[in-house]
Amino acid sequence: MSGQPSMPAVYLHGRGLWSPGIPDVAAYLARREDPSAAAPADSTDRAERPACDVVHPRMKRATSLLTQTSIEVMTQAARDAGFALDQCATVFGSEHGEIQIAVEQMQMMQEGSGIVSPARFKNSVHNTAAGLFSISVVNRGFTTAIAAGEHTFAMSLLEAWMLLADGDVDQVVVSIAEEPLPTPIHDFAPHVALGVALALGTKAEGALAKVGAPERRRVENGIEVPSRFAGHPGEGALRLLEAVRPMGRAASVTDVALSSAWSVRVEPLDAAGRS
Amino acid sequence: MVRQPYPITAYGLCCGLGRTTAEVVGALHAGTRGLREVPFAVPFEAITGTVPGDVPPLPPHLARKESRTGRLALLGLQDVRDAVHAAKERWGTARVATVLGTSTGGIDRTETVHFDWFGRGAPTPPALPSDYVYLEQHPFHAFEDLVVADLGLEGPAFVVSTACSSSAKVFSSARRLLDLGLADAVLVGGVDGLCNTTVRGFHSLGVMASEPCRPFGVDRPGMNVGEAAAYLLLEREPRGNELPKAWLRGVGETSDAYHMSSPDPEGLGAKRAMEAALAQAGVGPEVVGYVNAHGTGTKYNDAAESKALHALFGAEVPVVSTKALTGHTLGACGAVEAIFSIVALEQGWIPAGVGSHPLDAEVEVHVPETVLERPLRFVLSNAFAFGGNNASVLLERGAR
Repeated sequence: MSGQPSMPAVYLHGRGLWSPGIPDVAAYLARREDPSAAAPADSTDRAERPACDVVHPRMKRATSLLTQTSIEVMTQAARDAGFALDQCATVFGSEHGEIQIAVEQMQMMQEGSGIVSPARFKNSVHNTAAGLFSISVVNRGFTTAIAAGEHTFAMSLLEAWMLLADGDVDQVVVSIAEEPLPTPIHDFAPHVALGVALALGTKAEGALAKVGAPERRRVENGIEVPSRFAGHPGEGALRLLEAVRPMGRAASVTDVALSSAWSVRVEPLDAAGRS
Repeated sequence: MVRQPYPITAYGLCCGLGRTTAEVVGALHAGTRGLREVPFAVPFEAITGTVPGDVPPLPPHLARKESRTGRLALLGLQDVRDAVHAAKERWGTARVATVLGTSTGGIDRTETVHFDWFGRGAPTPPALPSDYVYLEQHPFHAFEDLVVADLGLEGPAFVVSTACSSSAKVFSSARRLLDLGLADAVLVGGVDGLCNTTVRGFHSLGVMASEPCRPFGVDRPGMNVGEAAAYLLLEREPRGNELPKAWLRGVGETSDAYHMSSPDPEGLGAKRAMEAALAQAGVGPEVVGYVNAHGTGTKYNDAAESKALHALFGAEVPVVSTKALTGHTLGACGAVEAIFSIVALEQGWIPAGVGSHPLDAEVEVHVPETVLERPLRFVLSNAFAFGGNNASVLLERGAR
């Protein structure tokens, strides 16, 4: 899609991140800046859960790690950007979706009466996080849930970018999140839990970076991510986050690989929204 | 904001009503139900909108992508394949995008393997079968990869999975791709194959009927799950002097912000979605000649939708739920029912509201008992989903 006529401008205003042992973007960046100092330890504890404070504990109980991670990073990014949680549009990306609940239900089908739990079933759809977030923060606007294999984040970002560029909304938060796959399919994609979210808007003021339209153009990875996230569906989102690390770094236009086929151009800005 | 209309130049589908578009449209006009035996064992009585006959296996070069959803995805392509190839010639393969909806993807494939893996009762389960390739069979994108590979498309491709509104929302993604010049044609659609997860899941919620469903009817027993693969081709401009099948005029999308599996009882989110679709066309409710309702046949969904419909359209505009014939095809229903709406526009008839009479006293909308022959200019098609996710698609007939 290179060579298209000039595209409307879209700006990055906020970020969110959660993974076991890494509760937010600040913790992630602190570790990246100085891996030896005051960084949280890696955690592979599957019981560790994000705070997910916008969801009522009663509603949270029957939800998966994926749903909680998605909502956590969505909330972090919106707050970081100063977006009203009940007003911004949301795009939830995930390659595998609610796979823990899906396999748990298959086990239920083979036990006892063979009937699944209604509480599990209603939280088993790909848009569980989208629905629960909208209910929890009383957001009656646009939300969607996307999947596209290894291009899931690229296509989620494309949908978010299009919503802004086409004038549907002026604020949108886009996330990608995955939970570990359960037995017996874990080995097909042995990744850890990770969620990353970006808050995007049409105003330049206060933005961290200008974000171009995702393009079907392969670029060299260039930007390294921690080894535990290499090959993760959220790797492209982490690279984008790395490309706009705050303060003290030379701002430069960077082409960020979102997947093996898709990339996006980002241009870091100063606090006044200048490049 | 009033949006640019885009022509829909082809469509095709398979579902419980038939294996080809012609069979499906014939059964729709005749009011024949496509509800049959569930194609696998379940521990309760149920009937489903099952595609008749055997669903053909995948061709050998795509066999690694095996799932029932994948098989249906290819079967449903048969009546749009030529039009998509023509669009590739017209615009270039990289300029044809694919945006499909599904609720479950290829989950049926993992169910089969999982049942076998644990079902043997051995203390150490056996190794997974060598032809089980999770990444190419189960995830949401697997069937779309199959479609893209079969058609040789190279434009942007993604799946929208918002449960039962999935393949209504794909129309707005397509509109954005066209508006922004990121594609010149977009294949949209929805595919969902029958699987244990949905049949047993809806049963667990207490909303499954063991008899044919009766949307908007008094003492309605609940819903029947169905399966389908349905596709529509949107292009930047009509082909030569050909009239398009219809025009996409608006897509309204809202959230109820009320409950994960129950609608806002007043239907406020549904009403806002319909209003938003009309606003994108710059028209009012008075132009709509027919509403293809979401109409699942459950007590609360139909009650909420009928309130929203009555508030917007009054009691005169015909409203029909075709799920009485197809069952609820979940992530495919938005595309299936958009096609039914286009057939109504093209051929000038509104299907009968099979099973709906006697109507529930709370339902204050006009559900026709027989086929109504009349010219139509605008038809609205609704799709509402878990999570309170609402989408409403406004279509205008090809001859404007």
